[in-house]
Amino acid sequence: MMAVSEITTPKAAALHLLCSLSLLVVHWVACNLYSWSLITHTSETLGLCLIVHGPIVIGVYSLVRRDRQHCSYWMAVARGLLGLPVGALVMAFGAIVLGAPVGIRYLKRTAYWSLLMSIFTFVPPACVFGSSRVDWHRIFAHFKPEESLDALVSLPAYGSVIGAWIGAWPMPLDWERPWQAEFSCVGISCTVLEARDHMHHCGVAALSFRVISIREIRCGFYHLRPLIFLVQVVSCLHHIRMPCTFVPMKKVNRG
Amino acid sequence: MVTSSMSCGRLAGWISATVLLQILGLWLFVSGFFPVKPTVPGFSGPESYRMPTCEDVLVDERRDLLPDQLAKMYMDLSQIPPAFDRMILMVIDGLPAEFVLGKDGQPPEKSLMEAMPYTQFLLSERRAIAFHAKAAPPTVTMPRLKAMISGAIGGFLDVAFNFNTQAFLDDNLLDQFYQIGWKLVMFGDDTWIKLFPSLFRRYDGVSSFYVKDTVEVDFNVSRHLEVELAANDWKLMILHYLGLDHAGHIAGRHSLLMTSKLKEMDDTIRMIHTHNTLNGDDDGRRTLLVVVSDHGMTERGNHGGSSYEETDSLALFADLWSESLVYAPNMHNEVFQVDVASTLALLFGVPIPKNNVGVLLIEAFNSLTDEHKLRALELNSWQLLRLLQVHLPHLLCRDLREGARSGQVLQSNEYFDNIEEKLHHLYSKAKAAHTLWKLSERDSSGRSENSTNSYNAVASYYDFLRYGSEWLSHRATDKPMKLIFSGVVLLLLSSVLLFYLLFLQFKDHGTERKFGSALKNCSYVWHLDETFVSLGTFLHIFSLGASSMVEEEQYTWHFLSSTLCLILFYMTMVSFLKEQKTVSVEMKETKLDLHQSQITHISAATYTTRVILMKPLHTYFQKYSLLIVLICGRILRGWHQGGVNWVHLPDISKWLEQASSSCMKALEITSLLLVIMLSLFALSLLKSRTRYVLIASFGIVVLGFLVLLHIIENQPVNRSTSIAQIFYFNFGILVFGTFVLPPWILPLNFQEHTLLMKKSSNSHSSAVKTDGVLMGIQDSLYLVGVMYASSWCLLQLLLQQPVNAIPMLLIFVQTMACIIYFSASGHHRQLVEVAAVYFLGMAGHFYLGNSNTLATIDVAGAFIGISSYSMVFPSILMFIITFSSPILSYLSMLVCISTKDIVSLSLPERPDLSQLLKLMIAFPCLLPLVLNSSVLTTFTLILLVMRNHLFVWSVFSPKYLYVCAGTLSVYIGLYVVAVTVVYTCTVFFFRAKLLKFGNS
Repeated sequence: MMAVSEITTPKAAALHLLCSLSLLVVHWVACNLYSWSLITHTSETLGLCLIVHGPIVIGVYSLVRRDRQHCSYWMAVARGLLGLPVGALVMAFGAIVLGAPVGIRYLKRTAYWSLLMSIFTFVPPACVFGSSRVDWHRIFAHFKPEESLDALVSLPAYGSVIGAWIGAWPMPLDWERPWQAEFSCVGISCTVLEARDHMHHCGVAALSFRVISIREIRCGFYHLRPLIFLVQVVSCLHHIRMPCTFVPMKKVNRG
Repeated sequence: MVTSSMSCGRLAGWISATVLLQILGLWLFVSGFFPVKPTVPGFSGPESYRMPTCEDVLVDERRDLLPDQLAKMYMDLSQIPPAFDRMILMVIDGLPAEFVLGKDGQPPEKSLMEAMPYTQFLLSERRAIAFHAKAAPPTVTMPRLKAMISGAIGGFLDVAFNFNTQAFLDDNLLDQFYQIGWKLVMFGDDTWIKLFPSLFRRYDGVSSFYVKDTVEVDFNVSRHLEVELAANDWKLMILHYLGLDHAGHIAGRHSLLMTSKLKEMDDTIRMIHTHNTLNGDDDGRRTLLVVVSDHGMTERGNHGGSSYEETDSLALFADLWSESLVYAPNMHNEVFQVDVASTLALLFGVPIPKNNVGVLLIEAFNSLTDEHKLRALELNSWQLLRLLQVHLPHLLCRDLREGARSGQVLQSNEYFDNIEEKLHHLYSKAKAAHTLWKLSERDSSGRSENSTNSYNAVASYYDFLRYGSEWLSHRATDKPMKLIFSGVVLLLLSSVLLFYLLFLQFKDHGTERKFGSALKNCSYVWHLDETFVSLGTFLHIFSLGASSMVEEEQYTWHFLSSTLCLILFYMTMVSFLKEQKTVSVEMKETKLDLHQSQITHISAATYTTRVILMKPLHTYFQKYSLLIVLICGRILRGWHQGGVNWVHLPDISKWLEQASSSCMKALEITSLLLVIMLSLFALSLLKSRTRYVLIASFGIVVLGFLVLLHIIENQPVNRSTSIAQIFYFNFGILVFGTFVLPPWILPLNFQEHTLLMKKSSNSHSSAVKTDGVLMGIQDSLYLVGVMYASSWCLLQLLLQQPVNAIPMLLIFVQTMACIIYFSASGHHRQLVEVAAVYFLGMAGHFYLGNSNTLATIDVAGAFIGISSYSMVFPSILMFIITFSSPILSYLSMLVCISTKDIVSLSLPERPDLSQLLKLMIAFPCLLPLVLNSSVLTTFTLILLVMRNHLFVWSVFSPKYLYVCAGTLSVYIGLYVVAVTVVYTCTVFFFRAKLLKFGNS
């Protein structure tokens, strides 16, 4: 086995900071320069994310590649680029199986999203470990990483997968009322909160996933639906009758 | 090795006890929550003008009368001259009476007064009279309309048991009017057309779907007014305005929209009131304008619950003819919405609808004399007495006329604890007062005394009517909380017990697993699947608290089942990565492990040989079967755009329905052939003798052929019943045959195994014998399970709509692939296996186009092969169609059980019957019960909490019916599984014993 700690803490912190920063920059650019949001300009925002975040991730993770003796920097970059479409295929399969719509109309969005997810999950281990089966198995089979390099690779990946899964949870609400829109602000701040620690990809992944997977049921496009769902259920249980506020859509049900 | 803390018999006893407890609790809750009030069938006729007696004989005398004659007869019998000839019933959806009448004796706000100047003018000029008409919950349109025109307060279950026709079949005013030859016209909410599909001569229904629209809905009603008011042919015109309700939903009770809407309504009232043709034409025809609202609204504009704001609806009567002060000044009367029915019936001279619990509003009869008023009260009392008699059969058998004789009844005012006595007393008192008035009228001694008498009579009639009416309506709406809570407590108790039993099983199983875990040490990924199963169940239960999530439950199930499959896939990939790494080492280790374990070395050796033989096949299966499950699931999800709110979105089934019928037929036949091939393939996998398999295959082919005939011959109009009946017959024989015969016929598997054993070790014969028995049991169960599942699928192909043929095939494939996966992989606990099959079953329920509304139940399919009309068989078929997928999953648990390696896993040398049974069926039976009972109990609690929610009748209650029926399907499926397993095992042990005796 390799040495226990190949990467120092400041280095790891810098890496995370860089990745998070790039995402924040994308968010800022999309919001302020183009006034895009994931809701209105899904594929554009995702594409921007890809262009900015992708090279940074590949570049940074290639720096911390494991076997430096045998593998040059550019080799690691090439591995990452090779891992990108493979991971995207896996992610697209997962998304479609979980309910993302299939069709020409959605092709671009699904492609962008799965490329982005691939950057979050597959590209870092591809850059760092290459095709070493042992390392891949260790990364995928163990939730508790033992080495800091493992943590650097696996935790963001798990975070984004879990975040994407949560974001894809079907939420067939009909968003008719202002209070529901207000929750989008809460959602954004929660995304920022989530961006701390190793989970910095989770929020964005959740956001992006939600956009393509639930589009089919018309309602989607609101930030952090899990939270709203929670609020709704809690309010139901406490019989505050909050759900009544968005009922008009469903007046068909009278009788 | 097995430390059996609870024997199989005791476990079975406990499970059945909890199930019984659950049924009892469910029954208590349902009977408490959905009170079924006894309704009187049929329509009121001339008998309603006669005093009811103890034994009321129902003679229908109207049969051969023409409408005109009937009207004449009613007029003669009632002895009341009809006050009006025509009626305009104007329903303003969602208008709170407070807007017109104010609250607590205070006039309404100034802005509201100004919004409705003409209505206020009518009221202040005493040319109209208005009431706060209290509506009963649920305050949604359809039940309220029913209440107004029938005077009855309905329960939820009468709607549910009406399959999916919404037509109103009980006695009601509109049908009564229609029978006496009235012409009815209707403009407005299409709920009326749903209720009375064939009654209206002219109608224009508007839908209330687009809630944001407040203008068009009302314009579509008002645009007819000009023409219709001038028309002469109608006798009843219904105008139902939805705009005000929509305005409330959009912006709440005090919005600006509301004021303009009120103004518009006021203009309509003015237009009607001032219209020339209505103001008493030459023939002296008088028109009554009735303005009612079906319910009120809350501050935010919603309705459905039982708060004062929601139940405060309006009833306004305006005599269009009279110029003078007709009505008494407004007293801010609080009445009930149901009172409208009897009032209108008596005003227009038709019999009061049978189930009416309302009391006539005497203030609306002001143009009549005292005599007629009292007669009207008397008629209402008789009608109410008839209804009361249904609840209290002995009420009328007392001598009611005794009251008339004895004057002291009038004075006596004692306390009655018996409801019958009290009613009897009140009625006698009213009767006596009426007689007294009649006497004094005949004497015509003094006007003042006369008016006192009449006042007394009216008051005492009211005492009786109000008391009886309230008693009746409480019986219909009051939820007996004791019943409900005892039901909930029982349900909770049974759930807790089931959980505890499962926990005990877990503990037992945990000790058994130790050996199994030695086979494959996948220590890390192990618990991911189990965690997800419990988390997913929890999330699903949690999601049921939201009405939208209930409506779109299919998304939840699809998401859960495919996530579970993805997790399993992930775990497979991880172990695959690992196996590649150390494949040879692991093999050796496994063997080593097995040989080390002394106790079960024989069976373990069998397992090893099997593992080695099957290994390539298994890994091959494992990877691809999950992919098949996932892809099938995705196709199935796209098949039906289920649910409630997004049904209109495109999906495969809609696309197919547009395609030609030959294409559909081809698809049907393809899926049929594939199902047959798949089941034949599954049967051919059986290792034992092929002769029996051939017979079974032949049975399947025959069934398939019958279905094929049915598909080919099937005309959409005239469905052939004979083929379906032959199919049912053959199906019954085949299923019964596969249940009874295989355990007796299938070999005990001695020969091959002794051979096998010789190779591995020198075993002693008893262990081999048990092994043989176990192998036989497995084979037999496999055969029976495959036969059950495939004949069930064939039955579904016969019954389901053509468009569901492919989904049925895919669900079958999914279930089989899932079972193959689990039989091939050793590192999942049985918990996950059973849960995965259960999840697939539940997801399949929605894949077939079912939803949580009663509208998606396939009623047409329920009459396939049924020649005579009866309620029982269609209901059974409907249940079979609706719950096809869950029941399929329970039936295929048999295959699951049979593919488990019970031979090799954790059995003592001489397993007795009870231990074996427990090992086989404890989990497959207990886990679905636990999962289902957790849903059932939670949803019961949710329903209880949500009982005042707007959607309690439209979303939560239908879902509850589905949950109850789902519980029934769990019981049935698991019962079949348990009985089959017990029967098979018993027979095999019996045969082994016989053989032993034969040998010795």
